[in-house]
Amino acid sequence: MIPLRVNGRTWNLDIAPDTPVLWALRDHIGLPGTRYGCGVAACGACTVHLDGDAVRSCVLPVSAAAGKEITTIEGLSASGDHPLQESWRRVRVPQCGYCQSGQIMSAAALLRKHRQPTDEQIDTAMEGNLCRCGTYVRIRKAIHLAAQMMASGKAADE
Amino acid sequence: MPAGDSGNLVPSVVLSRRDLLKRGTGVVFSLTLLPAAGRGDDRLRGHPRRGASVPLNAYVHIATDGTVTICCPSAEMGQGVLTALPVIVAEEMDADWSRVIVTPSPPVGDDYGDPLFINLIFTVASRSVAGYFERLRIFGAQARRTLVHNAARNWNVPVAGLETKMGQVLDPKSGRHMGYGEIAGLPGFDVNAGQADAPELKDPSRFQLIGRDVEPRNLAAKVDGSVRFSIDASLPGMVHAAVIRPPFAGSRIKSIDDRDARKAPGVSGVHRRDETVAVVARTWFEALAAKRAIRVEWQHADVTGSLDSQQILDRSIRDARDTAAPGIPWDGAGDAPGRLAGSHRVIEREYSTEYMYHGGMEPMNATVHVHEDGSRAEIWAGTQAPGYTLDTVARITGIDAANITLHRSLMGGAFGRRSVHAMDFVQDAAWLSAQLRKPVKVIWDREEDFKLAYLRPATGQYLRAAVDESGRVTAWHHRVACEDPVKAHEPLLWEAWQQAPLIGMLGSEHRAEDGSPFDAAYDLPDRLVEYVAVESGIRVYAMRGVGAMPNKFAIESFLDELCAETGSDPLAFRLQLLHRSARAQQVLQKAAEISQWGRRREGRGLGLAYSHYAGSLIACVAEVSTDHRSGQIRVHDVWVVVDCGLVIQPDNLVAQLEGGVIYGLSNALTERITIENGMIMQSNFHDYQMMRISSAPEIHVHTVHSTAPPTGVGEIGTVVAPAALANAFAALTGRRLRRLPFTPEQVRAAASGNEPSGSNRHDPAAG
Repeated sequence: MIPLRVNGRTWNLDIAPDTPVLWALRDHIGLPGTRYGCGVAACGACTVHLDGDAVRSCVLPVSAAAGKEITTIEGLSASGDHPLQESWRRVRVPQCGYCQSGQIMSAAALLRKHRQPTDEQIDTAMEGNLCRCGTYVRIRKAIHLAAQMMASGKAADE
Repeated sequence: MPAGDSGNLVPSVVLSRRDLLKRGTGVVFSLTLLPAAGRGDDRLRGHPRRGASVPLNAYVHIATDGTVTICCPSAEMGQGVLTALPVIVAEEMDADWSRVIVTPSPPVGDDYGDPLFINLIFTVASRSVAGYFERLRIFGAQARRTLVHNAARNWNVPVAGLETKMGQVLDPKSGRHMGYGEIAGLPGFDVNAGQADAPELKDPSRFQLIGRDVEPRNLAAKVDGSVRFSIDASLPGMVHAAVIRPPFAGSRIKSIDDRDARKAPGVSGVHRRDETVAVVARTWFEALAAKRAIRVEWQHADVTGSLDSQQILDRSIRDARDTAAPGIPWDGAGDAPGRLAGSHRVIEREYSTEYMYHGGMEPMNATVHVHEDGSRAEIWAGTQAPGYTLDTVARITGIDAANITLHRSLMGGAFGRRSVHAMDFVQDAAWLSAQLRKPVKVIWDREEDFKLAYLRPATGQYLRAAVDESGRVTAWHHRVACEDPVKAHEPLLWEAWQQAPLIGMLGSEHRAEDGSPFDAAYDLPDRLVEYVAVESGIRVYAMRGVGAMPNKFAIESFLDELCAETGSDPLAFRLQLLHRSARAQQVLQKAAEISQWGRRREGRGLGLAYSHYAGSLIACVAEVSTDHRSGQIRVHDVWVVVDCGLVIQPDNLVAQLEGGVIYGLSNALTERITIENGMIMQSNFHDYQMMRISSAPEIHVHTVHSTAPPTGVGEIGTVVAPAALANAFAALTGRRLRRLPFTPEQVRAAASGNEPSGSNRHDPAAG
């Protein structure tokens, strides 16, 4: 049995230790919002957070995630209201939508490190996430918008 | 095959309004016949439908609580049809959009099919909005009329005085009003009321939804992770399968060692059908892990086993150039050969484009459930051609298509890949479930998909033109050597289209092949365009922009080369060739204006390209710089101006152009499939490079206001962007990139003046 902590809940899985977290999420835990695109960490569709950092879950064995906190798109916010999810809707980023969970998870990790990222910082953080529909222009726009929303929200709190 | 100006090769079957009405009113679907919505569809996202639902016609149901269900014939793959098409119906109905539910249409049926594609639903060729616009308006207006007539009867007032607004019928005289749901629930509601005459369509000045952005369907679900694709299908008792496909078409299994795989954890069996081996397991990763333990020895087929993409490409270029061997005329007028022979100055060039991979992000997959008694089956698949999908599963399982339910899923990208007649990605789940009689989900891992991919055909292109003293083109000759996918892989369409190589040749003609206004083509009265057939056996298929991308790359590059030779300005040159079309002139001039075409930029080059495609007109300007040492081209800004007639959803149109431009630039900069000894040498996204965010330019989209009928925008950005990029590079460096993609080696060679051999071997520009 391997214990896996996902979105604040612990799952004890009867599963081979080399099973990638991606497939534990999709086929064992029932969280299919994290997507399979390449299986070799080349497309970013499977991006989740491991203790807050963006990682590619398709190459991360469950044995390496034990004792750590995994966050998926389903756990990013209580009701889809993370500033990035809000900005993604306002900018209307998604086309087919398949890669967008991974895009948003990468962007969320970026905003934790850089509250007001430059275009260069966005490019660096998002370079591992392919979008074949070509929504890149809007992804940049939506990240800037979310950063703005977070900054002004914070200002309002203070 | 006809050549010349005498009409289109594409059969243009236009249904009369009366035909539609006749059929529309006759068809009454019970709700149970509507396919179940995909799990990610908004039917399961907080829009519970209450009360009985009354079918008004093939496209519209109304529930007594006022919910309007509109079905969408086209398949959603990111292009936004699930929003744009129902908006057209809702517009004519005066429905309250907040009460509208969208569901996929039945997979087959005359009311849903596209006449161009033998009345099948075929979501391809940027045709959805253009092809369904009038039909959907009529069905919407018809539904409205039924409701108004029933309200009039109930109130015992004349129909003429009644109005409709936001899901209600109003009687301005008495101030009464009744919701559509209430009307549908009236005792004696007559679905045929008011259907004797054709309904009146709205004047476009009264449009409320068309031309205004509504929220795209499933937007929230695509952002919170709850959207579902066929890869997410999850059914009680379902098993998972991973497959091994042959390394190339025609190879045979000589021996197979699956002993370790059969003993692997979770595995319930290893199955084989022809040359496909499938491992069935409790979960997909267990199936994949076990599959990797299988050793297969292959016997290679003679012909396909020696295929080499470089040889095919070289031969294609050679064949294109060999004017002594006549091709198949595709487009022609006047006497191009005669004028070329008599001309003092002939300029000729060669171009080529390579094989490419569709690259949708959702790997190919399908789930099929053949029920235990074998009498029925269900399919969960994302498909551009649902009729093909049903037929394929019927053929493999032996179950009558009438007893098969297709759950039409949203697609994680498609780009043409999911319209292939063979429906190869659905076959494995069908035969496995037919054997096992339980739900089987098959996912091809990315490597399996690359292995036997259907590729964008490579092309060899030869162009020559006669020019007079004033620099005017007096004769035009274009030969395209490629493997046309229709003949090889679309048997039904090949016959229906009278053996026209439409996918490979589209965009090379200078007439309205694609449904564009005839005068949107360049005025080249003496011209000959020939198809030089390549029949190699490599699997090719339509990919976003089809033949128009490579063909426009060659044409638009060549025009700029003619400008360079004759000292003409690329903008003025095109304006002159388009002198017949005010609309074409307008998109070009607007593109010049917003890109500040005349302004020189230090260290940057500007390139222009024009195209018509799927009825729309586009001009594109790209601004680039280049790093000579690394051979990298950087695209900074792209401006596109499009005239696509009436705009249904403005923001979605911008998104389609942004995405289309990115797709085309990606094709042009990095995408290349190579084949050696019959095998595709690329296996995943590390060695097949698609554009990533750091290479994406700013894209500025401008739409020309138009009241013409709406036309397609899903591919036109892809068609035009590579040529604009090549022309910008030439403007910057004075060197020409004639082989697409523009690899760093080619860029470095071009920049240093050592162009690769074959790109421009003989230039008789000795006027």
